Amino acid sequence: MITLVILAITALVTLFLGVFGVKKLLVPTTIGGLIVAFATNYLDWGTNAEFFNKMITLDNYSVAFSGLLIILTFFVVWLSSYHLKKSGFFTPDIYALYLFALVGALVLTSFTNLTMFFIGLETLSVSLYVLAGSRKDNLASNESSLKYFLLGSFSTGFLLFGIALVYGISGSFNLAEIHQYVAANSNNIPMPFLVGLIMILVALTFKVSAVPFHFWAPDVYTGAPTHITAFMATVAKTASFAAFFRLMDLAFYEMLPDWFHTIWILAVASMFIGNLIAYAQKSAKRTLAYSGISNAGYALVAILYLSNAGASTIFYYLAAYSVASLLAFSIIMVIEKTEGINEEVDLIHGDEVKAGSSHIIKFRGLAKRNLFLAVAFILAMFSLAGIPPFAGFFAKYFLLANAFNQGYFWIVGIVLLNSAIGLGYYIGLGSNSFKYRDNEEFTPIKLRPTYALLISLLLIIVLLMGIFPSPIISLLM
Amino acid sequence: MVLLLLLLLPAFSAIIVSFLRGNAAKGVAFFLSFIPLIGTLGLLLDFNQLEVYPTYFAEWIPQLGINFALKADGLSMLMLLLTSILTPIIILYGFADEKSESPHLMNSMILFMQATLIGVFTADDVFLYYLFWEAALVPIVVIMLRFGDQLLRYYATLKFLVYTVAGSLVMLFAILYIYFLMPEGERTFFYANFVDVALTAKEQGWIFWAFFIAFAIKMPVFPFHSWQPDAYVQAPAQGSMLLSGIMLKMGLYSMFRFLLPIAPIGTKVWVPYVMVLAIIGIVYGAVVAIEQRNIKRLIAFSSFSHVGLMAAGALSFSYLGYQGTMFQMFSHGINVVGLFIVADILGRRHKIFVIDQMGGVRSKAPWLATTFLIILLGSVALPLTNGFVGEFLLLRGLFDYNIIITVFAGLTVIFSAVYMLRAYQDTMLGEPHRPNQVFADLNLPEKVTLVLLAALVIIFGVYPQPILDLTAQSTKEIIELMAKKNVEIINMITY
Repeated sequence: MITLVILAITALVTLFLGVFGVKKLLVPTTIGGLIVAFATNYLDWGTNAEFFNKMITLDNYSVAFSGLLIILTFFVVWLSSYHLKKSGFFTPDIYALYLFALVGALVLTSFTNLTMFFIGLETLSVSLYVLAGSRKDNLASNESSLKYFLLGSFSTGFLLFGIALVYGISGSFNLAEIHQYVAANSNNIPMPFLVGLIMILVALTFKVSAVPFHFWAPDVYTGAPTHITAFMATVAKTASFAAFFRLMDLAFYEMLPDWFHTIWILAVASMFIGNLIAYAQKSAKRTLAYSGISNAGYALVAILYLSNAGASTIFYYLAAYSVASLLAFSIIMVIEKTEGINEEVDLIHGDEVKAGSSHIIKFRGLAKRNLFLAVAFILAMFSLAGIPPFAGFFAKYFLLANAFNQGYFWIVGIVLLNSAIGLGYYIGLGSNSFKYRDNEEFTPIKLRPTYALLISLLLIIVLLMGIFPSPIISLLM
Repeated sequence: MVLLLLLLLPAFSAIIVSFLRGNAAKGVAFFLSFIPLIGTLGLLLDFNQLEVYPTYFAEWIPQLGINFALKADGLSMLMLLLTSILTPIIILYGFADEKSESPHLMNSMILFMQATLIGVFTADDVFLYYLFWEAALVPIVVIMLRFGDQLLRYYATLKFLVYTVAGSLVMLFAILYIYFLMPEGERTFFYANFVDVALTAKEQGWIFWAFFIAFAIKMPVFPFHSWQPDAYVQAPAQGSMLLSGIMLKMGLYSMFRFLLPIAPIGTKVWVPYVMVLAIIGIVYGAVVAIEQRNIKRLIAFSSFSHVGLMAAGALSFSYLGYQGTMFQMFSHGINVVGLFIVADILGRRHKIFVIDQMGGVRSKAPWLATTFLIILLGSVALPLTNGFVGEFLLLRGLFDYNIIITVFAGLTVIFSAVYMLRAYQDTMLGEPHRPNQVFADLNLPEKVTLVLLAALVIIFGVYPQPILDLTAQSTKEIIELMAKKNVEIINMITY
């Protein structure tokens, strides 16, 4: 609980720092707040403390996810600090919004009451709407923000309606009491309750950008500034999945047969649609958006086998996916800043390549411009594609092994098929850096040492998670 | 413990080398790649007198029955020897091209590759084996993308990658299936327990295919070969050597290690069909090789043809056939690396890989001509070369299995003489294609690598016994494992 308070206060402090123009202290304050929050969060491990009349419970599940989210935010803030300094478009409230979004995300991992769930989701979402539009001079950023806001509002409407219906039938917002109601009436659940559940599922599916509510993701990911995209693809997605799993596990577990088919159909559809449409993309950010959709499909599989095995699987999966995505985004951000697309290439492909875009042409010759970036990028792609010895391999393996254990052979088959399909576009995207003719000249890219350190650090985490997965997987077992 | 060091040393060497630049990267990589060779030779000194095999064991992910277990029996040692002989040679060959770009990346990836290959060949835990099997793709893909031929390398790399990973995923399904057949609480990927799981004949039937497809793509066996010529031609010389010299052996090694002991009945049922595939590969590969005008493509198809024979030998249910296949795995690795070195030298000097544009090299480069001839004779299996021992044993083993198949399989020897000697004639003899073309003889790194390889061809051709002794015991153990699953198998095996 103290973690939430610290983060909220830090957010307010950074807001005022911006107002009074002490911009140099912004990043140190934010980072300091995150570090203290991580420490207090760590102290909550194993306490199972309840707050606000059982509206929030800090069990191990929520503490583990909170820790992951704080670490991810830390990296995003680190990334953003370069981006913002360089862009000449400096909005101090971004750091405050990151922290507010993080507060919402932490609530999403620890709620035990539907109202708290709603508050958490909205705190996260509203911050994201603003963040997506934080480049006010950029049309795409504004479009992205508006699109996200309009569609997000609809999903909020669905969520509220669903919560109202569930409350109307079960008589409680408390997850444990809903669980009791479901357990007592598992044979004849009234129709309005089921409709309410479906509406909540619609809102959650929207938030995790799974098919069929995925249409916003590619546009919003592409339009938003890349550090915000990185935040949405990692922190927001992880928090939404944490909430999804928590809700299904704590409240609707007994109804598994009722929603089992819904979820697995959504999962399979997300995998296929995400993986197949990704092939047609010309922008790295859009490709990663579709990769996010297919990964939402994989992660949904873990919701099919709730319980501890499911919790540890989804935790590891999201951690692995987020770190590899962050690595990819951090490299895309470097690419976006660099010029050096020669006209000939533009003509060949016939596409207009704007400065600041992540069009795949901008990756051309990256191996000659900076070999380290090119290799790091393709290794990130290897991890996302699930090739050992990187984190992504174990993420997929745990998912498959648990699905196999439950006897869902057909799902295992589909996930394996999709891994093979996904490999093509991941490595295809990564190999763009190695496209050049031998006599072609490129301007080299020089990295700041600290930025190189950031990329190396993420790379090492991806590798270490793949070599020593045991500590993370046993966290929630 | 020695095994763990053998595995970790190349991995750490890879990290060290990646921080160096220029010739220092090559030199340090060459020096560091010697340490595993010394370690392997040290292990081999008294290997046949050992009471127990060298092993290493550590818990890794105990919740999921995954252990970090390594073990080296005779077959593993043979593959270790091949890997640790070829890696320094491949790195040494890198010195030949002084203008090569980013040598630190190339050598670091070669060493990383060596680590994963040693992992594949020594893993005593099925999961660990699978992990290394897949991880070996990462370095080779980076090598192919960065250093490959500029026109088609993306296409060739992606095709290779998608093919092999698709195959491995099928194998992963079978591995998971067997794992979850074990009673809950006793589940483990430990090799001895894993092979022991009782499977019905029907299960063995599909598990045979699940494993075989993964291995067949890696080798490759007809009709899973279409990635191979592209990959071998588009990869840089050192990449082709890794692919054909060592990676290809992963498939054959795995057939002995997993396919035969896990699904002997499935193998028995499906072998007649698979034999036909292998024979088609032998003849088809050889015929296509005769027609090839690109020397790297010729070697690729010749390798494809030879691998068909080895695959047939691994499925021959004959002690001699198994022994011959193992021996041939070793000698093919040496020969094909030698051939790729020759092809690269010719291609680099002529700036083109087409045979018709070459010729008359012998008078200008006697060292090249002589070493090429020796390696070539090893490849066409002339007596007193290493190729002869392996292929003779192989054909002898196949003879016990089926005479008609042996007749077709024997065609490899004749065909390979046709295309190899023709290639020699067109490149080395006759008049130069362009009369006043300059052609320098071998420089020092080229000379050392080729002479070493030529020496190995003759040494193991004249005195093959150490290799045969090395694999004798593990061949018997594989047969015992097969018999443990099904007693009737023992009657099928011919000695």
